[in-house]
Amino acid sequence: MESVNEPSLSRIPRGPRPYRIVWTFARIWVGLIFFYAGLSKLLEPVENFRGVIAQYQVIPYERVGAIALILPWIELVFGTFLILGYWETVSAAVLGTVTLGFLLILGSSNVLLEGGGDCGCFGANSPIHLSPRQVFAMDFLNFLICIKLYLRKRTPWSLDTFFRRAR
Amino acid sequence: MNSRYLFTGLIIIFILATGVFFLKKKMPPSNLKPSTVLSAGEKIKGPAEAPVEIIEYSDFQCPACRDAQPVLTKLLAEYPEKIRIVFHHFPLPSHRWAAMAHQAAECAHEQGKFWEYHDVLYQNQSSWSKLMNPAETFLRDAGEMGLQLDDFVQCLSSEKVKRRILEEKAVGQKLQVSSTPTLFINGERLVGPIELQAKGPLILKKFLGMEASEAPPSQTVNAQNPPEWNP
Repeated sequence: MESVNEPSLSRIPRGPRPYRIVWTFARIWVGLIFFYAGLSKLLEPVENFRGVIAQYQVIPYERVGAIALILPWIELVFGTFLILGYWETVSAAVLGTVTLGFLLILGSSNVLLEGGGDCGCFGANSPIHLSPRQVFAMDFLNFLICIKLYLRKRTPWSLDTFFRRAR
Repeated sequence: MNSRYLFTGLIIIFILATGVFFLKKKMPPSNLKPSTVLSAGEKIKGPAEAPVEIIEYSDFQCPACRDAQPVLTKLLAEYPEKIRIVFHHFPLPSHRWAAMAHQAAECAHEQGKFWEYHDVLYQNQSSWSKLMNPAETFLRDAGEMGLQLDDFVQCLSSEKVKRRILEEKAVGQKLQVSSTPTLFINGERLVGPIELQAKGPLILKKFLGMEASEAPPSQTVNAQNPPEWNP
């Protein structure tokens, strides 16, 4: 990660304005998806999410409980960071890794071929319910955005840019 | 990373944690205490005075619910005098024929054959769920079971029965049941057949005062039918 202590104008987002706007919205989009996914799971009993992870049978059963406890917090915290543009590169890297994990889990289970049901990504009482195929497509898009955000380092209208300019 | 930057991050995390804490406090309780008095309309398998009650929220068209049935049957066979299973309807809107199947099962219940019908629905789930209209199959099954077909047909369109099913589901929703199958073993929540197989026997032994031995879930349960969520 780059240090925010180093004053350099080259670190302030540049490039054609439409691109900057597009990537800012892309950053907020991915952040909102993870914020919502994390919050909706945290407000439900942990057993609901634990049961869903266990059923995919990709992760060793002994680790399912810990993952069900930790993952929603990772989604919520780093999703919020991405919305606010705080610690952008690290947040993009973390959420990109999480998304890659989802893609591997979905890709290695039969649910993608069967196509039915609900992925369980947004918790139970959420109005958003996506099929495994829909969520695979969305995760793939989010993964590409995370890579781009990681490589781009910074987008405008973010706390990172604010801190850099404030120095 | 300067201290102001770091402090901002910690403030964000603190706000999030506080928000989740207060929102969670506002949520309804998610534990279901075992019933001390069972209502007359309950669908119960096992002795009414059994010390362990398993309440099952299930959908007849959900493959994961079908996968949970052998595990429940095995538990009931192992502890015949100690467990009662209480079935609660939880038809999911994402399943086209679930509402009809639940209504048919409730109609069978009115004639005292709920569990037989329940078993047939799960056994034949993969065939009737693919049909254009499984009504004929449901009627045929009812006939083969010796149910009064006139009453059964009338019951299939009964608003009262439909309301009863939805009321049962609404109780589950209040308890934050969101996916099927969700089971409460003396109030302890388990979601999905894998969890039931892995933790069910341990929870049972705990309530029966027996020594529990760790047993990872075996592969007898179909792995790839995730619990399904209620939109």
